[in-house]
Amino acid sequence: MPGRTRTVVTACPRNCYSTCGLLVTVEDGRIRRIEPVPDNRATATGACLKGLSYIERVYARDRLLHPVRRTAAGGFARVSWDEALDEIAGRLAAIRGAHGPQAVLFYAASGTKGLMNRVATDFWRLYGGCTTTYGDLCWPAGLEATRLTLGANEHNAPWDLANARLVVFWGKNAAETNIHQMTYVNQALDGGATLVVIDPRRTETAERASLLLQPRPGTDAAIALAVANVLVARGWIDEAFVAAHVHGFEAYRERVQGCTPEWAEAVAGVPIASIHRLAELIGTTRPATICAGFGMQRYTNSGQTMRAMIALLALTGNIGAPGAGWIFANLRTQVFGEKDPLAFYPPERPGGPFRVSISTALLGPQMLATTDPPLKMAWVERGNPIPQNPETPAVLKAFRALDFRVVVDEVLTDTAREADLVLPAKSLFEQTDVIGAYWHDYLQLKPRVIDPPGEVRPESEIYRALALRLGVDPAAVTDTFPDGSDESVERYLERRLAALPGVTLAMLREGPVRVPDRAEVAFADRRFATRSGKIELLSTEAASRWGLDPVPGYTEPVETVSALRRDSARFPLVLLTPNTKNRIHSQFGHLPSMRAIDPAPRLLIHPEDALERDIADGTRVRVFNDRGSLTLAARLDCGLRPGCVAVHNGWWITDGGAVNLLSMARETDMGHGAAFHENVVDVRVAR
Amino acid sequence: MTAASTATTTRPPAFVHDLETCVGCHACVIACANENALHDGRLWRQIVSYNPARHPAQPTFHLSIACNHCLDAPCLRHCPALAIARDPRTGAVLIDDARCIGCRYCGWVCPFDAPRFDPSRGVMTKCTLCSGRLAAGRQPACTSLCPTGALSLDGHVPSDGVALAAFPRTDARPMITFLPVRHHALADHGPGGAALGVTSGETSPALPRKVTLRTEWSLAVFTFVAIVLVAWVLAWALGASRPRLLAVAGLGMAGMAVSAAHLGRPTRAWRAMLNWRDSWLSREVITYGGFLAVAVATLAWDGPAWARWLAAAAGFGCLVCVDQVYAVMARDDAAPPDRATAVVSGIFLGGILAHAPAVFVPAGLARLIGFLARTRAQPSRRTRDLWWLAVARVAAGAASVLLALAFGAAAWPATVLALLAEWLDRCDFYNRLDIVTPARTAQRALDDALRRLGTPRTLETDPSAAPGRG
Repeated sequence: MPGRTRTVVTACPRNCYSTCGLLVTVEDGRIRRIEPVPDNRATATGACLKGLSYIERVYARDRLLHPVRRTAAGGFARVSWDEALDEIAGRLAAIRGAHGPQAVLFYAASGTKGLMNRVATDFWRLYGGCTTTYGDLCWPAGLEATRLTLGANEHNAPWDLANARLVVFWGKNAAETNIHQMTYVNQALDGGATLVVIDPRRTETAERASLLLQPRPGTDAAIALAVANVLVARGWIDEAFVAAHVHGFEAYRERVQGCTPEWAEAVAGVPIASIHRLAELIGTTRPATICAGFGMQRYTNSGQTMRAMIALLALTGNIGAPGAGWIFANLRTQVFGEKDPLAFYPPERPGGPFRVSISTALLGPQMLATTDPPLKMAWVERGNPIPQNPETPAVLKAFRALDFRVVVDEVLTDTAREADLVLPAKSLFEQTDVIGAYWHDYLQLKPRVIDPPGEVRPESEIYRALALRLGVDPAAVTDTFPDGSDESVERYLERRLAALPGVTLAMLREGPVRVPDRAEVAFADRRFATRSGKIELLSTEAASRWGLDPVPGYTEPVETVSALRRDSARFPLVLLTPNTKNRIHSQFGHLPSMRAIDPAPRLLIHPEDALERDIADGTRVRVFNDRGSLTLAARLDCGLRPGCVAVHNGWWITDGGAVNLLSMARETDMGHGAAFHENVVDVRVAR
Repeated sequence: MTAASTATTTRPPAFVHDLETCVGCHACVIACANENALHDGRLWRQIVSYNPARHPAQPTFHLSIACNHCLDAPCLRHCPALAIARDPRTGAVLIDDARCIGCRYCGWVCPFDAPRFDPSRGVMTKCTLCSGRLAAGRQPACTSLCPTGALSLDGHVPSDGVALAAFPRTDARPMITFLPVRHHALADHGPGGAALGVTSGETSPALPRKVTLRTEWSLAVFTFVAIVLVAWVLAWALGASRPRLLAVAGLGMAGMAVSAAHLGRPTRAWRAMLNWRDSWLSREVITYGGFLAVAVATLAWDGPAWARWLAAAAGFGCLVCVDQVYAVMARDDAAPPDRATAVVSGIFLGGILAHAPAVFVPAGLARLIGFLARTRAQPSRRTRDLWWLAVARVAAGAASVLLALAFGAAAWPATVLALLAEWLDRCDFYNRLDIVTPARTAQRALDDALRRLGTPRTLETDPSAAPGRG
């Protein structure tokens, strides 16, 4: 019936480069179509399979539509909101009385972006505080390396990549994780550009490359240093640029002197000819862009690795020009301090209501070690930390050691299955919010498109109800939390948006808005917010803040299989845990159509390693180390570097594919990131 | 005028698939599922990867495949119920829900594996080219939602002359054109190993078959019943004693019931006879009914030799149709001697039942040759899984012939063994039916490419190509 069909422009709030605009068609109150939003130029061709699968996800049969409580038998039974909230409020009050508010851990991950997430912090402040985490699983080493070197995490507009003559994808598989970037790669290739991929796997992105380097995982710095060595030796240095804009060139030149391609070949295990070829391409092609991925900076040496990679662009003057630069993260839209006070780094002076004492990378061990007061309860939202944080067995143990656990989620994840109470979470279509991004610089309105189904309530209303039950002054509650109406939520958002002059909710209602201080080319003015005001190849802050060598170099990863020790190593294979196009971390995998596309976790293994172990395609194998094991089917992959095996990240424990059963809680060398990609294993036929 | 020829009046627009820009992202698959409300894991569009194990000597690329609305669509031609027709507005090949009997035959004859059974409604379903959207001037969901612009629809590109080894070869004239892969400087592909010689057979998973005994046992039973009945009547014509009327009628009706039970919509079973002009399946149904009627009448009448031969001939007419049902499909196990398996089976069994060595010895030999040809045409590892069935089938067949030769009319065990052998043969036939699917075609194309390149078959890595592995 005409009039009952409407379209709404919204945006995807997942932790993903693309952060697509979505044009949603609603017919008779039900979402029928998801189509492109051309006004978001970066994602103008529309969402990936995950964005399109929201139609299935929102109406999924296994979605939680009401609170559930763990039963004595281990299952879950429906409870009313009143029962659930009364119990939580009772527990919160009791724990605060007996141990203080900091006996409660509030843990939120990156499951849903948006300004509304701030209501959580608002609530815990009213409660009197809590214990929270610092650091991040995703990207801190790279962010910090970029900040130390370039002064800010900014990069050229996404479409500018089409101007590059050389594109280096270093540890990034855009074809699966940032598919819209491939549009610009294709445009660059059409214009005659060269594509280089550096990745232990022959990825879908590598399929388009004319040079693929497959290093031993964690040794990328050796390649970067050796390339710099060749650049210096061959005189492929932009002398004028270096003189004007680079701090520490002499020290860096000294550092790379001994880092010959021969040395890098031995360390990284890539052919010397490939290193020379890469150096020649970087040394002689203008403009050049390096797109660095996130996976590669989840090693114990990765901050320094990223600095060595940026140095290649600095040496060749590939910063601040069209088609040139360093594409890691663009934080121009992250201007609201959404994580405040959950800053990336622990506060310099501890104290206040929030005890920011647990490193996200070390969640399990540090939860268990927390005292004075010890943790009694956890509240988890926007995350699935048990399979997704390093060292799953320790995280599981830490959660089981608590007296009470509340999880807010759309489905019964591995973490939710460990909870005492699971509260149903809103989907992206069920409350208005404003979404930033980290690849393009659009702010996007994510309006409420449909009413929450069943008894689903947005977190703002959950917290509001809890605050009232805890006896918080109703005036303060009204002041802090929006009520259920769209107008109230919009007023809340407008207050938050006030921090960004030049952008209003009214503007966002018209479509995606690029932030006012956007630039097509980052650092075009050659101003760098570092201590020296230049690109710093020598960073005193790297030394003072992180205790690292001010000049980036190569250190062997803590957990690795070196070329020499391979035959004698107890765990001779390096486990890679890359992301797949089919999930955002542990989300989307439960949907029937995703299951049809990707039914079960697999161990990817090179035929050479498989043959040594009597493994054929389809053989059930056990992947194990001292920390745990997984049993799954093997799939032979000739494109893997021999000596590496891979299981895609994001499978649940209940799927039999939770890769962090094998990982270890460790921090990166800078930024309090998680170095959980550094794992050695062995593989045997399962008995 | 046949249905097929009247339907070519409107030429549908062709898919244009750019293999270079396609990254196999599956957005088209989900877009299709959304548009058509497929939320039960049933998908109309699929991604088939060429070289999924990334053999170093070949590029990897992906084919996005659904119905290609072929100009000579096998589904349309062979649908027994006349349920498939071309949409005069858009040229799309469409299945009519109200006419489909759910026999799944369109899925068998389609080399692109496009028609999919909807168990909840008991009918076949497939890509409609988003006819409603097309008619409203919009693009189909799959092409309009491709994030890399790799899949599009272009009314001007002819579909003829598709020359892509990884794509099923067919004379159906599918409306799809491919733009080739542009970049792959694989010489530079590092220690993954240009020196590595792995056959695709070692790295490819065993692909599912469209038709197996497990899913189609009812058809195996039906065709076996048809063969046995025809053999029985043939034996009578050859001079054996008269079959019992009730047994023939009862068995015949039971066979019909079993085959009808396999339909998604059994109440529409009568529609299976409608496409007698074009569909061997319709002809099979009609000739089976005709044979049964003639045989029962002849038995009731206890007719003379000419009538018995007439009944037998009607039966063999049916068996010819049975064989043709399987022959018209695009099959990779193409072994001509095996293409008349039901007919020869009927002759052999008839000979055994009638104790006529002049009939069963040559027919038995033909059976053996057909069986061996079928076995040889099977290159896959699955053949090995079936070795016991093959041994049992040959042993039972040979034993029945020897017993019949040695003991003549007294050898009832020969009959039992011959029936067993033919039943095993029927099972084996279904288990080996190697119908072309896009995934199997892509796998075979990779095999062929690697064979042409002459890659070594042993696993050896040149150490100099992968220094410091680890």
